[in-house]
Amino acid sequence: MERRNSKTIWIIATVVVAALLGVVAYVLTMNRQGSSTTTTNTTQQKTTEQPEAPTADATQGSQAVTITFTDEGFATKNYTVSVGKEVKVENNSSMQLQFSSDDHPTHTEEIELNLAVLAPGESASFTPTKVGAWSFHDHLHDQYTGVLTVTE
Amino acid sequence: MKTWIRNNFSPAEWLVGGTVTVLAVLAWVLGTGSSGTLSLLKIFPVFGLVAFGLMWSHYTVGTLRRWSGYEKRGKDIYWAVSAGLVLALIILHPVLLNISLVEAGLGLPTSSYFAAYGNVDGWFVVLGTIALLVFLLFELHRWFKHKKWWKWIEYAQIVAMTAIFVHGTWLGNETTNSWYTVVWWGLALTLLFAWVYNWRYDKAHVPRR
Repeated sequence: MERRNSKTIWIIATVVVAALLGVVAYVLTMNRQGSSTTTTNTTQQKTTEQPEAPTADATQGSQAVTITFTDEGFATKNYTVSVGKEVKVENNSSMQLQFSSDDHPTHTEEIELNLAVLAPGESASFTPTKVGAWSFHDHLHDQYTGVLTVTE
Repeated sequence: MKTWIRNNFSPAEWLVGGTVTVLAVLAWVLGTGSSGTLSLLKIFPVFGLVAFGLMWSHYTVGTLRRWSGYEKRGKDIYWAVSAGLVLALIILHPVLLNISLVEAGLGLPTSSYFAAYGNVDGWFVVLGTIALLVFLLFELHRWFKHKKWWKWIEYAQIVAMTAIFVHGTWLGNETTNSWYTVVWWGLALTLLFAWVYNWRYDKAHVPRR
């Protein structure tokens, strides 16, 4: 009986560990395949000004886009902009904001998105040069997330 | 209640362990797991959540055993399987983080922790690393559990569990920003209760070494 129990334990343990390693290997492979984009040039500006009202519709397509951060997080979760158009990030909250590309905390998914820390009332902008759907978050409060889709 | 637990002890421990595991995975799937592209940095937290839940189940199931008066018959499959799983998870949790930090060019621990998480949060990652080393010490029980000094390793496990709770509360997303926060604190409170019960039980029943 005890020998049979031991055998069961080993089978279950082997399957579980193999499954865990399989998930890790799969994600590693997916990441390597997904990171094939080209870098050109990015411009970033940081300004201090009075914040404007939060942008209601963030899916502005070819227009420049404003991402507004409030005390409840990003005003909208999804934003769309064309390559070469300016993206402005406004900190309308009472907290500091460090707008960053995923993943937390390395911020390497799309480094063009990474900005310096913005005090309340400050804003900064950057111009994306890569097409894709880039997830972002506030590095200082990483539960606040969003997605910037950059189109042709 | 005691009779029911005694008669259904094995299913009960699987139910307890299974429930905390499902809750942890569900919290991660609905939170970190569903935001953006899946990566090692998004996966590694769930290993920590599940590991904490299973370690919690070891303390609470042990307490239930004592309280109900259930006597072990043969090898406890739940304990053996979940202990092996915990070992794999607590090793994978930091390993995946460190692979990601190295791949991002942040170097090796502990400087990579501070580079990635900053000067304050970095210390809470270090706290988790120290707790991991204490948990790994427990694996020596195969050879040393009858030694007089082994009780200190067991006390250290309690300190390490507390450290992991602090580590998870400070750094975790699901532990602070979702419905799982209630579960997380519930686990902490019941764990505290289990420790107090076991301490009183040992005082009353276990002869001093």
